[in-house]
Order: sequence, then structure tokens, then C-alpha cells
Amino acid sequence: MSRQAMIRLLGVSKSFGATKAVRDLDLELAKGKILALLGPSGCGKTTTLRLLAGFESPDAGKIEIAGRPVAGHGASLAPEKRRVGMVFQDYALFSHLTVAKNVAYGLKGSFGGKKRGARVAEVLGLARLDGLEGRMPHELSGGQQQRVALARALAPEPAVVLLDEPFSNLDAALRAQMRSEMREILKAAGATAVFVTHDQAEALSFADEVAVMFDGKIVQLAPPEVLYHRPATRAVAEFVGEANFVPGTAKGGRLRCALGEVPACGECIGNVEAMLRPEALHLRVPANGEDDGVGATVIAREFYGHDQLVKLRLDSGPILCSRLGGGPGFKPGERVLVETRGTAVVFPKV
Amino acid sequence: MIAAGRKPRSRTSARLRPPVAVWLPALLVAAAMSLPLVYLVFRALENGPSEVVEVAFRGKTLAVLARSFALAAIVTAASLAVAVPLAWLTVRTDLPGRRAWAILAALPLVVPSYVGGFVLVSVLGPRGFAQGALSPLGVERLPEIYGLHGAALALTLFSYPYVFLTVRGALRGMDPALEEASRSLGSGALATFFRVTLPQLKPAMVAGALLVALYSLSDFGAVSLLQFDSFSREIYTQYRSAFDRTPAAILALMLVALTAAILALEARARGRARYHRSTVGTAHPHGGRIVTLGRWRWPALLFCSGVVLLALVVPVGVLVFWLSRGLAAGEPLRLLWGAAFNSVYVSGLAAGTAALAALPVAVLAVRYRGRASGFVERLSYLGYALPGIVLALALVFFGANFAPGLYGTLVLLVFAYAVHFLPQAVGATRAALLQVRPSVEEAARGLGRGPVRVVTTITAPLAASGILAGAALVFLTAMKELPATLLLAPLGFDTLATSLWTATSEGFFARAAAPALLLILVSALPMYLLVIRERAQ
Repeated sequence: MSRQAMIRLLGVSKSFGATKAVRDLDLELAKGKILALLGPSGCGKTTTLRLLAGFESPDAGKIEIAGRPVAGHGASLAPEKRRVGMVFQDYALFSHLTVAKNVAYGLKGSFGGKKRGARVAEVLGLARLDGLEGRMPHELSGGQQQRVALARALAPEPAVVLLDEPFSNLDAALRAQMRSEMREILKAAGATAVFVTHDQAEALSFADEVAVMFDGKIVQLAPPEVLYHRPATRAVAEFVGEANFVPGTAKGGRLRCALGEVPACGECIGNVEAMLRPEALHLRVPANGEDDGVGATVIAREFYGHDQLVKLRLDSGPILCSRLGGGPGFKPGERVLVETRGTAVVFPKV
Repeated sequence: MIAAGRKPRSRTSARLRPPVAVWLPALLVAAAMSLPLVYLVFRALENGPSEVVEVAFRGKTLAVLARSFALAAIVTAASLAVAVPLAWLTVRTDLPGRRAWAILAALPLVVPSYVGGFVLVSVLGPRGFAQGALSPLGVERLPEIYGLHGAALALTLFSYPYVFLTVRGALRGMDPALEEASRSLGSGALATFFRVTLPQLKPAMVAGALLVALYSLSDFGAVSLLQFDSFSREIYTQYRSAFDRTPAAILALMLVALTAAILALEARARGRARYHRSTVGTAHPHGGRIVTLGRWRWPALLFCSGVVLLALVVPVGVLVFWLSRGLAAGEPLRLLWGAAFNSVYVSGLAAGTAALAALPVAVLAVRYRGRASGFVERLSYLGYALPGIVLALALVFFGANFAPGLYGTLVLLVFAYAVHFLPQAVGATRAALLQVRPSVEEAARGLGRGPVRVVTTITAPLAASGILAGAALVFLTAMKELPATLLLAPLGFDTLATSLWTATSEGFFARAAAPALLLILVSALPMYLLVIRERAQ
């Protein structure tokens, strides 16, 4: 275990009545990193966040923040003593206070007196809110409100910033922009952060590490690239991005399947289920009379502008998806040849 | 190292454990709220249960019971008869000036029952206005105003708006498609009213009728001034005249039981009304067909003006008449200002006390929901179930026996007001707290503030308008409270309500007019504020 861990959860469990929200959860996050808790609704990710914040207390297990036990094993630190900054889904701005007073609310102790004003100005600058000090929350746009919420959480220099579905209240266009802005602010502040989301694209683009949660447990904890290209289970592969599954036999890092022989990674050998991302499948129109290779028929196409998703049926039966650049389109019914460029991930056959 | 096999220690979350600073005051408030009733039970049982049975079942008590029932039944039936047509006319017809009629017809609610009683006595009583005007014409005696018909008339005129307002609300919220469906299925306008509209209105009618019944049962002012021996007047007479006060306590307990039964019925009716109401999506404001009255608008107008004349114009006109006559005769207003000051002073104390006491109860009820906090909240509504006369009597007994130092001081009176009107303060504070999202409080906790600091810096400022509204409501209702003031005010401490009472019972109508008008104004304020608030929303 690294000495730099800002967050440490050991065997944490939490039930509400008969529902086990979090089961025997272990988690560690290094200083300065952004972690995404990703999972479908009801998987226990928000509960985990609230356990960290101290709004819930665990039934079992132990939680440490910045090396200090805050829950479990006799410790039970109140939320206000944990040095966590929380950014809520609905922002939870204090509607009776100005932007500056919202940000100053958590400042005390080492930020008392003169330093207080300086710190407020510093954080507002960091969040690009200069000039909005005197506004009331309802006079701000959605994106500005979000940045105030983040600034308010960052102001007391918390050990960790917790964000609960921070982008779900924004419309799609603003969401992508806020994602990168928030990430920049967090990185500039050198903050350690945990955020909860059910949106895989958000988790992959915003976080340094992603923990996928199903049913109260963390199934995989990995950097976004690893998570996408080497998912630990079939369920993770399906939840994070689109995936093609084909049966085959694996041996010595090679997979034999309907797509021919493909390089493979994964532990198991023999009869397996192999996963290929749609980007790994390339299509081309066969030259006259050419029937060498993996033949297929296009059955549908979704065009997104920057790319397109082509659904096809291999001559051998399986239906697969291919993601191509936004170039020339393939029409349903058209004959194509499929080439695989990339590595398949193999899972045990179910 | 890893506590995988540990037994779960506790299943309650951090949120469910209220801090001491919340539950201790809330518990104290709950104890204070239950004190009058608990003491009343002890007092009633003082001479053993046999006396309770004896008093409760003797002929005189049964007669009081019958009279109270008769009064409540007549007032309720009469209110329905007046209010349902009024509501229908002002919502669903092309009655000329129906918006204005709707406001005018609701206004009599602001006349306190004893002011209404006073007006009736001062017009139709033996030394009243009508008698004075008619005696030169040789009319020696008007029919007796005192008794059942007088009390029923006064209570109907000033409590029918309860039914009017609930039925109006239901009419406006009703899905117009129901009536349209009935018309398209071949029913005429009248048949549709009786087969579709009226059944839909039943829950609202029941809810309004129960409010009226509750009002007539617990009313003290009108029945006393019109000398009708229902429960509250009988309790007062027993207390004032009889040497043994246990029967008064037993009667009071019986009245509480009756009130509680009606409250339970009302709660059930309200629950059903919600069930019956159509969903937001289908309800159109001012929806539904507008019925063309045609020739019928003349009788309709006559009906509306008759009700408004009797319930609003005549009372206010008579009061203004008496006031001007009193002023012309040199009636000093000095007494009035003293009484007004006393009213404001003691009501202000009550409002502050109630608002303070309501805060912990409301915080507990909203933020720490559970069986215990629900129980505390329900206890805080006890004041609503205790008619003023009963509450006052219990506190008189309690003060005389256990707190002679407090008996006859303002402390006991303020306590009575606070207990009686706490439900209003709790209701308003509760509603305001519900508007404050929990995440805002959690954000403050996360920023390093303890639970009590969070309440003072975040929750209370955000809920301030609601808390103030609750306090204002308590202030204005305390201003017009009569029976508890009559029994508990210190000697020589006259309020607007008690000086009106004294002047009326002694026949000094001119002297009573000024406090009566002031009291009507005071009662009109909360209604005005409510209207403004609804508009703002």
C-alpha cells in the first residue's frame, strides 16, 4: 500500500434494511488523482461517496482519509471534521448567500481574518468566477453555479473532493465543456477527487482511475485505457463502451474464431468468449470476384458525423458492429469484407 | 486487517440520529404540549371513576350533549346549503361579477364568532338596534334571539366559508372531461350536476362540513353571547358557579373526546379527497363548461347578495354605526388603546414562544423522520384538538394547584396561547424546512460546520420567511382568542377580546364596536397574506 493514499476503504459494508448497498469494499486512491465510481443506478456508488463524506456510517469495515481513521474500528468522525469537500448533483448552493459568501462559508481556522478574502479571491480566480463575487446563486448560469459549487468545496483545501453525479444537471453540449473545465480546475488545485457517475464516457474522459461497481462491489479498478481495452469481466466490457462477442478457441495468445485468427489477451484457453471493440473491425468493399477473407452483409448503419456504426451479419452467422470514420457510407444489403486490427479479450465461456 | 467478517454494528445511518440540541428541546415541547390534557384527565378522575360515569350519564350532561350535537348538525347542514350553491355559482356559471362574489363570500371567515354573536345581539337583542327602531311603530317585543336558533344563525353566517372554500377548490380542480363525457352520453346540465359533479364534490363537502362541525363544537364566544348551553358554555358556567369543579373537568374531557373524533373523521376525509382529486395533468384552472344562467341570474344574484349582506355588510355596518354613535356620545377611546396594547404585547410573546418551540419539533419531524419524531410531531398538534375553553380550564386547575406563583400571571396565559397555536407555527416551519434541500445542509456539514451551526447559519435563514409566517399566524390568532384569555388573564389585564366580551355582556354596544372592528381587521390580515402568497406562487 502506498504511503501517499488519501483515501482508504477496508472491508466496508453498508445495508439499508435488507438491501446490501455496499459489500466488503476495498479501495485506495493516491494523492492528486481523480477516481470515478462508475456503475448502473443502485450499484452502491452514491452510498460509497456518502460513506466517505460521513453522511452515512458503515456497518462494518474501516475508512481512512489522509491517513486518519474517520469511520470504523471505533472511529466515527462527524462530516464537518473530515476535511472533505462535496459537490452535489443539485449544487446545493446557499441561496441566501452571495457567490463570495458561499465560497467563504467553509473558511475558518488557518483561513481566518485577512487570509479569508485572499483565499476566496484565489479560488474564484481558479474557477474563473472573477467578477461574479456579488451575484446571488439564482443569477448564475448552470455552468457558473457548478463552478461555484466546486470553488466552495475547494476553498478550505479539503483532503479530498467528492462529486455526486456532477454533470447530470447540464445539457449535453455544456456537459463536455464543463467536464474539461472541472478537470482543469481540480488538477490546477492539485486536488484528490472521487466522483460518481453512471455515464461511462464521462468516467473515461474525466478520471485518472475508474472503479466499476456492480451490486455493491468493485469489479475492476483501473486507468480508463486499461478498463476499455482490457475489461476484467464480460459485464464490465458490456458496461464500458460497445462490445462484440464471438465464440472461439484460444491458445498461446491467439484466438481462432469466425473472424479468422486474431491476437488475444486474457487468462483462459480453450473454448472461450472473445470480445472485440467495434473499432477493431475494418470494412472494405470486395474487389470484383474477390471472395478471399471474412465476408459479411451490412444490415444497418447509424451515422454520427465524426464516425459511423455499421451493423453487419457475417456469412458464418454472428451479427457484429463496426465503428468507422465518418467517410463514405455503407448501405444496408451491401457486401463487405471484414478485417480485424487489434487484440481480442477472451473470457471463459458461459 | 480487513474487517470482512465483522458483524454489522448498527444499521441506523448518521442522519437518523438527531443531536441533543434538537431532540431535547423537542421532547420538552412535547411534554409541555401534553401537560394540559394529562392534567385534565387526572383532575377528572380525582374523585374516582364512579363520579366520571355519574356525571357523564346524568340527564343534564346528556342534554348538553344533545344540544351540542343539534347545534353542530344544524350549523353544518345550513353551511352546506348556503356554501355549495355559492361555490357552484361563482365557479361554473356566468354570474355577473363572479370573481368579486367569490372574494366577498369568503370574507365572513374573518369575523370572529363572538364578534358575530355580538352583532346579532346588538341588532336583534332586547336592547338592540332593531328593537330601538321598531318600538315607535308599536312593536313591543322581537322574537327571542337567544338560544339554539340565534347561536346556529351566528355560527352558520361566519363558518360557511369553510365549506365554500373547500368546495370551490374541488370544483376548480375537477377534470372538466368528466362533465363533458356525461353531456356527450346524453345527460342534461342538471342531470350531469347531480350524477357527476355532486358525487365528485362529496369529499370536499365532507371535509368542509367536518371543519364547520368542529368549529361549532369548540366555539365559545357565539354560544356564550347567545346564551346557548352547549358544551363550552356549560363548562364555563360549571367552572364559574359550582363549588366542585370536577364536573367541569369531566365535561371538558367529553368535549375533547368529541373533538378528537371529528378530527379523526376530518383527517380521513382529507385523505380520501386527495385520492379523488384528478391528476395535475388533467386539471385545468377555470376549466369546464360555463353554464349560462339566463333568466336565472336574477335569483342567483339575489341569493349571493342576501348571503353577503347578512354575513358581511350588516355586521360591519352595524359596528360602524355603533362606533359612530359611541364617538358622538363622547365614548373615550383610551380604554381601547390600553386593551389593544395588551393584546399586541401578549400575542407577540405568544408568537415568539410558539415559533421558538416549533423549530426543534419541525427540524426533528423533517430531517430525522422516524417513529419517535412522528410521535413528537403528533403531540405538538394536541393544541389543535383542545378547544380553548378546555385548555384554559386545565391550566387554571394546574396553576391553582401546582404553580400558584404563576397563576394569574401572563406566563400562564402565554403558555396557553403557545400550546393552543403551536400547530400553526409547526405547520409553517415544517413547510419551510421541506423547501430547504437536505443537500444544502450536507454541503455545510462537509465544509466543516457542526449540526447546530448549520441550523443557525443555513437552515434558519433559508426557512426564515416560513418561520416568520408561522409566528405572524400565531400572533394574529392569539389576538382574537377569547376563552383562554377570559380565564387566565391577570386581574385588570384587558385585551381587545375581553373588553368586547365585557362590554357586550353588560349591553354597552357602543363601547364594544371599536374593539370588534379592530379584531375583524386583525383577522383579515392572515387571509390577505395567504392570498398574496398564493398569487406569488
